[in-house]
Amino acid sequence: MKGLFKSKPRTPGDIVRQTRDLLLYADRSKSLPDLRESKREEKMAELSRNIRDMKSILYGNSEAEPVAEACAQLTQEFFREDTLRLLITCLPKLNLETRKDATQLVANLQRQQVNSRLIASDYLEANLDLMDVLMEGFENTDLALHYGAMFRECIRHQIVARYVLESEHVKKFFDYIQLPDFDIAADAAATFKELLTRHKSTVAEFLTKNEDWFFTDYNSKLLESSNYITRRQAIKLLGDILLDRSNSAVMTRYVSSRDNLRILMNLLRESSKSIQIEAFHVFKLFAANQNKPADIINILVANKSKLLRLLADLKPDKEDERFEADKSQVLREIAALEPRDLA
Amino acid sequence: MARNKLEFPLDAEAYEIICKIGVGVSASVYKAVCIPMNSTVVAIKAIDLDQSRADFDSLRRETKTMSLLSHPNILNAYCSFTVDRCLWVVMPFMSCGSLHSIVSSSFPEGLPENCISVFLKETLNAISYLHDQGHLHRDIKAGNILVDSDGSVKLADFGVSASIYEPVTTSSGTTSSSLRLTDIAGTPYWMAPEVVHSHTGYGFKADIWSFGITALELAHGRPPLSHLPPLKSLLMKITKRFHFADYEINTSGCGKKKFSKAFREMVGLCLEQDPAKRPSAEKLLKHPFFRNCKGVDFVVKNVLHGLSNTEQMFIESQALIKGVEDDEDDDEEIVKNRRISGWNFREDDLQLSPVFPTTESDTSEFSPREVDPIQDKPEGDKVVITGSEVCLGLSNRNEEAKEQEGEVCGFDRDLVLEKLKLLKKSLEHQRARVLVIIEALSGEKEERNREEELLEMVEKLKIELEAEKMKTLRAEKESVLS
Repeated sequence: MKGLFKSKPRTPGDIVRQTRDLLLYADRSKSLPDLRESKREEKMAELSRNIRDMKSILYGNSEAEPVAEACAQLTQEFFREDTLRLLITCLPKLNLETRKDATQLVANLQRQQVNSRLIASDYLEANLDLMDVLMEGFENTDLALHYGAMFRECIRHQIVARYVLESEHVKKFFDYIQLPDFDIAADAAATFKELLTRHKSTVAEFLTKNEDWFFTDYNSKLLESSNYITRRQAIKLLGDILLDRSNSAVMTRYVSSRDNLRILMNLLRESSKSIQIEAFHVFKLFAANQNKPADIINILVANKSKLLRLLADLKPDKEDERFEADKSQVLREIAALEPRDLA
Repeated sequence: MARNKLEFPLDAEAYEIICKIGVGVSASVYKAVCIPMNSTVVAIKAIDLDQSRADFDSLRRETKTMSLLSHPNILNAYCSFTVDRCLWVVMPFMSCGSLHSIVSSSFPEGLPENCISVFLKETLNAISYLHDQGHLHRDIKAGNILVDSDGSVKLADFGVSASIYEPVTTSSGTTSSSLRLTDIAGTPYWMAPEVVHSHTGYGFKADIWSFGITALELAHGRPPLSHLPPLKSLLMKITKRFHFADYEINTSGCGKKKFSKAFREMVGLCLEQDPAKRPSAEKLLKHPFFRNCKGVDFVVKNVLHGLSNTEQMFIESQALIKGVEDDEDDDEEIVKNRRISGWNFREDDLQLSPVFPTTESDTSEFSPREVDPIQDKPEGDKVVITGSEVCLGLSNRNEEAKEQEGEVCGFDRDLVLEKLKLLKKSLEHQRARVLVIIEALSGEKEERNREEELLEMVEKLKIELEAEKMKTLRAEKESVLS
C-alpha cells in the first residue's frame, strides 16, 4: 500500500503538506488538458490515501488509539494554510469513499485543541465565506450529505453559528427541511435545530432581533405545513426554544399573540397524538401566563368547554406525572377564566 | 460517481404496491414496482413516523448510512421520502428473501457446507467493507442476509448499526468519540458476550462473533440456544442440562452432520471468548475455508432453484421472522441481566454452549456461598439463580436474594415453584415455535382446526397471565421486605 520505495515514515505535517499539493493539483487539473488521464488517476488515488491516513491519525484505527501529539501537529499544519478551503472546493472531484473520509476528517478537526485552543474556530472566523460554500451544498443531491455534515460541525463554534444566524442563510432552512429527499431534509432539520438551541446567548440575541419575521415564517411555513414530519419536528423545536430559560423574554411575547394561540389550538386538534402532546407543551405557556392579554383570555373563554374536553382526553402513551401535573394546572387556569372587556 | 439515488422518483405516485411482504412493530415492507423506471421491482419499507421519537435522529442515521454505503454485498436504499405519516425507504427487491427464511422453509436441518461457504463469503465481504468504513452492523444474523434469485447476497438492516466516526450526542450535550461503543444493541442469540456485559465496551469484533453464530445458524438450521426464549435470562441457567439433551436429539435425529475441519476452525476463531483473539473480517476472508469457495452460480443451482414458490415462502417466512423478532425486541433489556462467564465451543461437532459462573466445575453444585466471594453481584433487580442452586434448593443464594428473603439457607418452595413455572413456560414456547415451523414447512395452515388454534391462544394468554402474576408476586415480596 505504502509503495515499494518508502523511505522514512512521514510526519503528520508531511501528510498535510502532500495533501495540500495534491488538492492544488486536483483543483487545477481540469485546466491542464495535456495531462495524461492515467497520471491524473494516480494522483487522485494518492490524494484519497492521504486523506484516509489523516483520518486514521485523528481517529486511531483497529491497532492504535490516536496520539495527542500527532493530532495536534496535523491540526496545526492543516489550518496554517488554506487546506480546508481547498478540500471543500475539491470535494466534488473526489470519489464517494474519499468524500466520506474527508467529511469525517473535517468533523474531527473542529474538535481538536492545540494548546487548549480550538484553532479551527480561529480559522473559520477568518474564512466565514466557507459557510456560504457549504450552504450551497443543500441544493446539490450529490454533495448535500457531505457538506451538510461539515456545516453542522462548523456551527459548533459560536462565532460561526452567529454568522449563519445573522446571514440570509437561516431563511433557506425553512425550505430545505421540507425537501422531498428525506436524507437531505432530515440533515437540514438537524442543523436547523442545532442552530437554534446550541449557543443560548446567540440564539436569544437572534430571536430578539428577528422575532417578527422569524415567528411569522415559522408559523406559516412550518407549523402550518402540509407535511406531517415538518409540523411534528417544528412543534417539538418550538417547545424546546420557548421553554429555554434564556429565551424567556421572547416566550412571553410569543404567548401574548392571538395568531400564535390560534395555530397552537389547531395543532392541539391534530389527529396525530404525537403532535397533540408536543403542542400541549407550548399551549400550556399561553394558559399559564399570569399577564394574559384580554384578547387571549377571550379566545380561551370562548373555547372553554371544547378545550376542557379535549385536554381531559389527552394522554401520552406512557404514564407521565409531569404531564398530568401540567395538565391539571392548565385545566384549572382555563376553568377559572372569565371574559374580559377588550381594553 | 453519481448515485443511482437520483434516478428514483421521490413521489409515492410513481410506485405501485403489489403486496405486503413483511410486518414489524412500526414498519411494513411491500413489494412494489416503480412505474417510470420501466416498472423495476423494488421493496419499500414503510416506517410509521407517528410511533418514532420526534428528533428522528436514529432514522436519519439509518437512511443516511444506507444511502452513503456503496458495496455489492450491502443492501442500500435507492431513496427515501415521506408519504403522509410514513417514511418510505425504497430498496432493491431481493426475491429469495433472507437466508433465515430459506433455511427455515427448505433446509430446517441446515445448509450443505459448500453452500454455506458461498453465503458466508459474500456476507464477510460486506462486513469487511463496513468495518473499513468505520461502521459496526451490530445485528448480523441470517435474517438480515438477503438473497436474490441471481444469487446476489446482500447484508441488510442498518436499524441499529453505529459509526465510530459519528459520536452520538446525548441530550446532556456530552459526546463520546472513542473507537468503542457501550450501548446494547442487537438480537440476543447472536450477541457477543462483551456486548451483553457491555461495561467495558466493544468494537468491530462483536460483529465477528455474530458472524460465527450465523455460521452455526446456517449449519444447524438455527442459532445455538434458540430453543430457549431469548428473554428468559434465569431460565437459560436452569435449563442448561435440558439443552444438551435437546440439542443432541435434534442433531442425531437426522444423522450426524459432518463438517470440514476448515469450517470448524473458522467458526472457532469467530467464537473466541476474547474479542482481541478473533480475527478481523479482512483476515477471516483469507481463511482456508473460503479459499476454494464456489461461486454464486453454485447456490443458484443448488439452493435457490430448489425453492418452491419463492415469493410465497418469502411472505410466510417474513411473517415468521417478524413475529420472532418482535418477541426478542421486547426483551432486549432483560438480556442485560443474563450472566454467562464463558462459552464452550466444541469444534468437533460445531456446537456452542454457555458456561455459567457458579458452575465452573460440576462439583460446585453444593458449594456454600463463601467459596465464591468474588462472584459478581447480580445486576439489576433480577434474582440470579444458576442451575446448581435449583438442585440445592438455593443454599448459595446471592446477596440480593439474601436481602429479599432475609435468610441464607433453607428450601424456598416459592422460588423453586417459580423456576419450574418458568421452565414450563419455556417448553410451551418451544412447542409454539415448532408448530409455527411445521406449519410453514407443510403449508397446511388451512387444515389446522379452529380448536387447536383456540387452545394455542388460551395457552399464550395463560403464559402472559402467569408472567404478570409473577411480576406482581415479586413486587409484593419486595414491598413487604423493604
